[in-house]
Amino acid sequence: MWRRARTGPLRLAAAAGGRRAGRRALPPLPTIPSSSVASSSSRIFRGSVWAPYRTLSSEGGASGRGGECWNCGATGVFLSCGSCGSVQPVDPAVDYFQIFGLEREYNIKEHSLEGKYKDWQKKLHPDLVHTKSEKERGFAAEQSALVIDAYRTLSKPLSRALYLLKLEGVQVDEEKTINDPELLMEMMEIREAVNDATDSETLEKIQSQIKRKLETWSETFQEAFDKRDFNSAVEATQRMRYYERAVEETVKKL
Amino acid sequence: MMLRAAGKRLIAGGQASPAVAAPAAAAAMRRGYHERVVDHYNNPRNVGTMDKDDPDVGTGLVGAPACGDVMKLQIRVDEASGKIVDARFKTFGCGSAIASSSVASEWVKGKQMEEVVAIKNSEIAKHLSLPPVKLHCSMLAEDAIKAAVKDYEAKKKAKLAMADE
Repeated sequence: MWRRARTGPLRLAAAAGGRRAGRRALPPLPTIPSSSVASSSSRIFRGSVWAPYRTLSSEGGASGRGGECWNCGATGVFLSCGSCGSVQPVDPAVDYFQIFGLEREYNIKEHSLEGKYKDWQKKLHPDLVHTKSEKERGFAAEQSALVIDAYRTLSKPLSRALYLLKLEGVQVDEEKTINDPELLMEMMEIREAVNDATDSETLEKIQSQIKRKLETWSETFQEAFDKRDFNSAVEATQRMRYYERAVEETVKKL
Repeated sequence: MMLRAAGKRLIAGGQASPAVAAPAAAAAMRRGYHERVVDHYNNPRNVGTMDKDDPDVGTGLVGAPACGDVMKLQIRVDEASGKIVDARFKTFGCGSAIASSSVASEWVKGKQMEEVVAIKNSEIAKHLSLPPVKLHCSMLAEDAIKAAVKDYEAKKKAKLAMADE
């Protein structure tokens, strides 16, 4: 409480141009162990908000996973501080699986994501940090956006597969034209069938057929990925994308 | 640069859904496609299918991995002159992909096969004022043309090989 009150008038003073005076007027912060954190903290109270917290993020170690809370100095913070509840700046080293406390693998329990997602938003959502500093509101906006991205990427098989490949450093050349006649002819037939279908029963039948194929190729991806056969894994994701596209078309029509 | 094509009305790019009713045209204009793209989308030239097994027909079937599009371009070649006398296309994809293949089907008609393989995707893209994000659609059309020609030539070769036996 007291700290926030001090931040207010200080910022006004800084805006008025009394920057240095404002900084000196601030009483010393409670002891924060490492010098790196101390130096970055002094930057926080300087004036404009944007530059400082970006600097903090790029410093990485001073905040984020397992780092120290910028607010109270507690260690082992992850996205938000367990001690004081302050939202931390985004740590680029954290991956989506870590956010949801999952192993980095394809076969995850999708239904377990939602609970964790809601838990995170209760701690990170920008709407819940109205009373906090502009800096912390900025952190909240970024962290909550990150969690949303993570949730969306992990909940769908194709995006999860592509993300896993990305984490492994596999480059997928999306520009290269596909010439596989078998796949393309099959897709042509499927898309034509969807196009010509007039009643919902036919569409649903086609949809379930495609979904079954999606599942088969999803399993193929799993096997290929586990064997680290990335060429086959990428091929599987390409098939999955075609089938997902076809499913989208049936959904549009239904 | 492409967007500032002289005298052409252009609105920033968007994504159209393949519904083919008249209201979709107005919607597409609002969402922002060049008028030529909208024209090809609403009045596609040469949509259709040729008999794959017809010896004078070359079929090019290509796909774009990024968006799951499928494009089929077929050509009918006059054996004697080597000229492409007719073309048909069928594309499942966005408005730009449909328009690109429609343009391709128009441009190959009446040309020699050596000429059409020289058609560059940049020419198609320029003609349609495609935004950068849709350039791969014109690339797909260029690949479709080449694939159709390749298929025809392979068929001709096989026919000659059989005739020799």
